[in-house]
Amino acid sequence: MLFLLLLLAGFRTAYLGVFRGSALRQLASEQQTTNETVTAQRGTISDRNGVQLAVSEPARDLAADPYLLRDPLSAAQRLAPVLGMPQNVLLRKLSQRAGFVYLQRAVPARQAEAALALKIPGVTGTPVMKRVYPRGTLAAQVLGQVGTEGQGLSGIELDNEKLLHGRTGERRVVSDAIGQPVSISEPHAEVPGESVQLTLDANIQQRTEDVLSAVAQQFSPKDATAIVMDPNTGAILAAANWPQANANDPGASSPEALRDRAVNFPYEPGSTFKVVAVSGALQEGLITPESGFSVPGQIQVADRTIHDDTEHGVESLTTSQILARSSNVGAIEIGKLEGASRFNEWVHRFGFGAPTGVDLPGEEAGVTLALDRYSGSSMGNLPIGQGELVTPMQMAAAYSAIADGGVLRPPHLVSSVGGKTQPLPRGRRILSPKTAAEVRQMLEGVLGPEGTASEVSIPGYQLAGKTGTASKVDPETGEYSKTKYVASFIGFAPAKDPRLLTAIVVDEPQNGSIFGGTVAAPAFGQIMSFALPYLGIQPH
Amino acid sequence: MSPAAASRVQAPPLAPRRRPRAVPAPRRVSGPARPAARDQAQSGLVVGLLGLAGRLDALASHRVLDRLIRSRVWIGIVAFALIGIVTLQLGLLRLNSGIGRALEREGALQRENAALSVENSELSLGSRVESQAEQLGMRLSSVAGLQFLSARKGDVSRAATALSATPAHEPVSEAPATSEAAAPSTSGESGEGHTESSESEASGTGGGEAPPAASEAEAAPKSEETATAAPTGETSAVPAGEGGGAAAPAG
Repeated sequence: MLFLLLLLAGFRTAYLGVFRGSALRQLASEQQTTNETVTAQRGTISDRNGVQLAVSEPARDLAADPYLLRDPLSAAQRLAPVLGMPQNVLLRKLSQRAGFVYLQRAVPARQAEAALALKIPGVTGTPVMKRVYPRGTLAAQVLGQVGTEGQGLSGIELDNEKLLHGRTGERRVVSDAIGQPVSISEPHAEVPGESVQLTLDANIQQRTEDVLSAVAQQFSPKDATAIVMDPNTGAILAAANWPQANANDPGASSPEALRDRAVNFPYEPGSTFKVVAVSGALQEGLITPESGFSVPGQIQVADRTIHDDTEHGVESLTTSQILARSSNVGAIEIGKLEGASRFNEWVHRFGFGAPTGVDLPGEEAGVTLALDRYSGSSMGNLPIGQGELVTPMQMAAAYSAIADGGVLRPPHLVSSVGGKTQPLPRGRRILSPKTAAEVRQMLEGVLGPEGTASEVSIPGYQLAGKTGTASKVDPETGEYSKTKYVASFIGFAPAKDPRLLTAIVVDEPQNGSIFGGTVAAPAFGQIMSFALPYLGIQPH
Repeated sequence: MSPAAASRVQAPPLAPRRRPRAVPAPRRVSGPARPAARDQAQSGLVVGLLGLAGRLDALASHRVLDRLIRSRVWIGIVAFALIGIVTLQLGLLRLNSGIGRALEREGALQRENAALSVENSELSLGSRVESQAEQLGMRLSSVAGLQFLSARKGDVSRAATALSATPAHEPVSEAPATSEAAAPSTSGESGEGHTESSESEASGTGGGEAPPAASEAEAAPKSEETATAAPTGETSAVPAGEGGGAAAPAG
């Protein structure tokens, strides 16, 4: 009898050990061993003072296997209050005839743990990182967005994807019968993303966005953008857009609102471009700030007749006065003096027709006319900022060259990565310091009593800049519209030793005013009157 | 043969001694001659390994070990070793369990850190700081009211003294009119860095909407205009006049 029992036990042992051994070993391994994906924490993005603008927090993608649910209604009732979702939405998801369905993605870790603690069969959570933008709308278009898989989709998030993303790791955990880990190994350790510090200043950015919102309220434009930068380094302190977008909920914003117009809005610059023709002619020695021009009220160039903004007879204006009063006829005269070839050369020397190289993805290059495509009337519209497309960033960079003594620097947004300061992009001299100083002095006149922005002043500070009011091409007629304009102002301060530059571009302002001097220039004043003392820049 | 001599002959040795094997000389192989140093190193390694093997062999058949294995002490040693192994395993399990807990804690701290970062960013919001400062009786100075004065030797200590003398909660407006007293001495001593304190009431923004805080500041009495308040609302409770003209609205 004993022998028989021993024999039976032997057979059973052999059966379990030999025939079922492999399958049982696998089952035991599955019960005890779990392979976890360790999501790398995405690097933070902060402003120049260390204010966090984008932070990643642990979260979970909650999913369910509806086939494993016996009572979807009860599950929906229990999950709804925890996830803050309507019961019927959950029930619809849990009743699907599928083996996998997402209940909610990127659920904050605490909330997800509470949901998983309900121990509803088939409900699982995959660890992920949730991107949070603590300031909501602040610099939303510059910071960009992160996709559901944690990858950068636009803005700084996309441009620095490799640095910010880090590397996902893998962890193998062997647990005992009660689920306590008895062995933990990491075949691939996760590598957290690098933190990126921007040149943006959250306070200046906030104030710039506030000013743009006020402009939008007053003039109901289609959209608007503003750039504040340090002309001596090319560091961008603010890049604001209107309409605003909520970075935490990009789906709620229109695609237009998510566009960073600073680099993605090609427009005809109008009078702000006159500075190119004037600077070139000054540098070539063709004119001086005091050179006199006989300026009629209109000029015929090939088949085109170009007028000044205000009707006037023949006037004698100096170069400075041409800039201050923004005379179209005067600028065309200077352009003609320069000639098409040299003017075209100066357009490219100022960086137009190519991206500035700012560290933002998808920067537009703008459109400049090739010299061999110049027509007889080209020199009648190009020097006054018609017939070429530029971006606000290109204009800001060009003016910063004048402000910085003639050195054109690529604007930049990233100050340091992982605590390591990024080298400043190298600039190239396009104007002599003397010419740049002369242009700066002439631009002071724009805000003087005779200038087109005479109403703008900041007590104690000498300002310089240029207004621009450009007609937009009507896509229906193919001609310049008489109702749609782009109002802009680009200026810097203190005029003698510029430390801060601001460019404002307002697309299609309405409510009675369309001019750069009345729409954009006051906004320039408001931004500068905050930023100059804020940065401790003394008046001269 | 004497019995003593016979016992010497008959008694087998306790541990048979083996002669160490002679190290064979490396054979010459065909091909280019190798460096002599490498040959020497290799032969030295072989000699060392063989010596170690010999020593281990001698240890295994050592008299003391042999006696130990045959005695009861061995049971104790084995039991001790078994207990040690179990204890080691338990320690290992505890360590792994600790790692598990540490990982959980890491996750919790990560969450907490992210939440604090978000909170920190929200708390440093300029408009919030401004409103808090306003509640404390501070107000934003207009651009016209700002004065940039050059710091001189001794200003830091004077500012520190003024700072400690002024209660933190005391509003700027309640401070004595020190600017009148301080301003002349400042300009008289240095004569530089004192820019115009514009009398203009205009904020200089050309008809645009001035920030509400700025317009409030414009209503402030002239005597307070030397108090330099950072436009972010990071206002200073110390009147600039008391600081000996060292204050500047730094960012």
